[in-house]
Amino acid sequence: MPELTAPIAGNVWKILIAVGDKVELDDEVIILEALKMETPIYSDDSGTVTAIKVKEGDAVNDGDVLVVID
Amino acid sequence: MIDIIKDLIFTSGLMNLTGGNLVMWLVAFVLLYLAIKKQYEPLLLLPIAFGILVVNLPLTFLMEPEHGLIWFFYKYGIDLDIIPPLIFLGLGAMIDFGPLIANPKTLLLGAGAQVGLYVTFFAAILFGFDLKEAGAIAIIGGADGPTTIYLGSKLAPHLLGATAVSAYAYMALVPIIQPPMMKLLTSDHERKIVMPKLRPISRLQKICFPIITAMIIMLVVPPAAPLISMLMLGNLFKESGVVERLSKTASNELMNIVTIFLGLSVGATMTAAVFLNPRVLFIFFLGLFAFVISTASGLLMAKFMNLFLKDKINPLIGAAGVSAVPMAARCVHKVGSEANRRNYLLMHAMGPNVAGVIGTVVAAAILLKNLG
Amino acid sequence: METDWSKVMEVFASGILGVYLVMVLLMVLTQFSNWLIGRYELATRKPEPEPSKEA
Repeated sequence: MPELTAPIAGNVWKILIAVGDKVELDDEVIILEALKMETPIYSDDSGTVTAIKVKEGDAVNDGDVLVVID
Repeated sequence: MIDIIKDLIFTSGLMNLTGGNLVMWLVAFVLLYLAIKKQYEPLLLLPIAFGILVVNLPLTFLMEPEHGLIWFFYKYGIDLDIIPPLIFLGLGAMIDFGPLIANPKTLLLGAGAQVGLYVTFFAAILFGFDLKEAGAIAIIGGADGPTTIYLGSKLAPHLLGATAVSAYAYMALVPIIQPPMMKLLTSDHERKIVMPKLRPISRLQKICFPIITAMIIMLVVPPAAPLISMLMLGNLFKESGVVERLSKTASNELMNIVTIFLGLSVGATMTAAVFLNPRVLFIFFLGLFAFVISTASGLLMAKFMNLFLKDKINPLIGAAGVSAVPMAARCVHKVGSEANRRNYLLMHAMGPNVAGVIGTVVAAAILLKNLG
Repeated sequence: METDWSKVMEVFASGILGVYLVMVLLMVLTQFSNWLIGRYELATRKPEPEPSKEA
């Protein structure tokens, strides 16, 4: 199950998808905030979102799982 | 009765206004506008602007030696070197040296950007400034307010206002100043380089770093001591994890208190006589020059290093050697993500960014040693 | 105004050289201490599942 992990540490600012959505490679799925800067995170895969492991406002570290896509 | 009114009028500041004062009021109002409306570095610019305004109201004697309120702030805060080191204490308590420790090569990028300082020094001499003045102007390229003020107060206090305002203004303008240079000196291919994840750093490493750094720098370049000792102490507060009260105070209350006195004192050095001088325009020009050249030298250093590295670094992070923390790092990230959406350079850029802070202090110390 | 060009060059050269020397020194010592600390931590590490670190 391909997991999309956070490439940098930051806070989850916006979640742009929901469980069950279809996503394509390179779609913007989540926006993190790091050092007061919006950092969009793009999908590694095409498929369906099976799980979202964070909610808006969570602090995440480098490598934390954000979303699971099948 | 008439005499009382006459007396009131003649001792009022109003009668002693010069044209220069009025021009400085305009400068103060512009800076107030930039600070309040456009929110350019308001924490510094607002007190600076107000300092300019009050010192250009005659007969207040606010800056009168041994008597003026603000003179005391200046004398004990800046002249006696207390405020800039305290700002560094707060800065250290907020800085994360992790990305630097993870990739110590970025220290060389911090050094690379400082080359721009010395080029600016040279340029300042060509513009007719004397050695000490040129040093105070060159340090603007270090993009570090407290270091600029520290060096300026020691080498050329009459230029302090202009150099400080330049430094803070251009720091706010980094997102505009840097990208053109970054795109000029790097190829599209280079900008797309993805850098491997930073390795995790242990707590012990983060504790040893400030201690080692402080010792080495103070042993090799003693004039750096006031600034580097405070910077590293602040960082030690943060990383040790055992003095959270001190760390919090240093990064919040202390920083805020000191910033108030700093801004006001620096602004109050800018009397009409000192500021309204064509050479001030040169300073603003040279300040911009310093930022541009430092960005370039950082970028070029990164490209140079890539000739010897197996795992290439993205040369954009070289620009973050200009230690406007974290503006330059953010700028690098943005330009990098424009080239390659999946490139998250922010943390990688923080390495050179904080290395640049150290580099600027070292550069200032060496200038002080040579020119002080 | 008299410009002492030899002094200018001295400041310029010693400055650039000086900054690089200090930073290289710092870099080497940081790498060394990282290595040292890494070895120490490896030696005192209790056996537990850990992601392997690469220097």
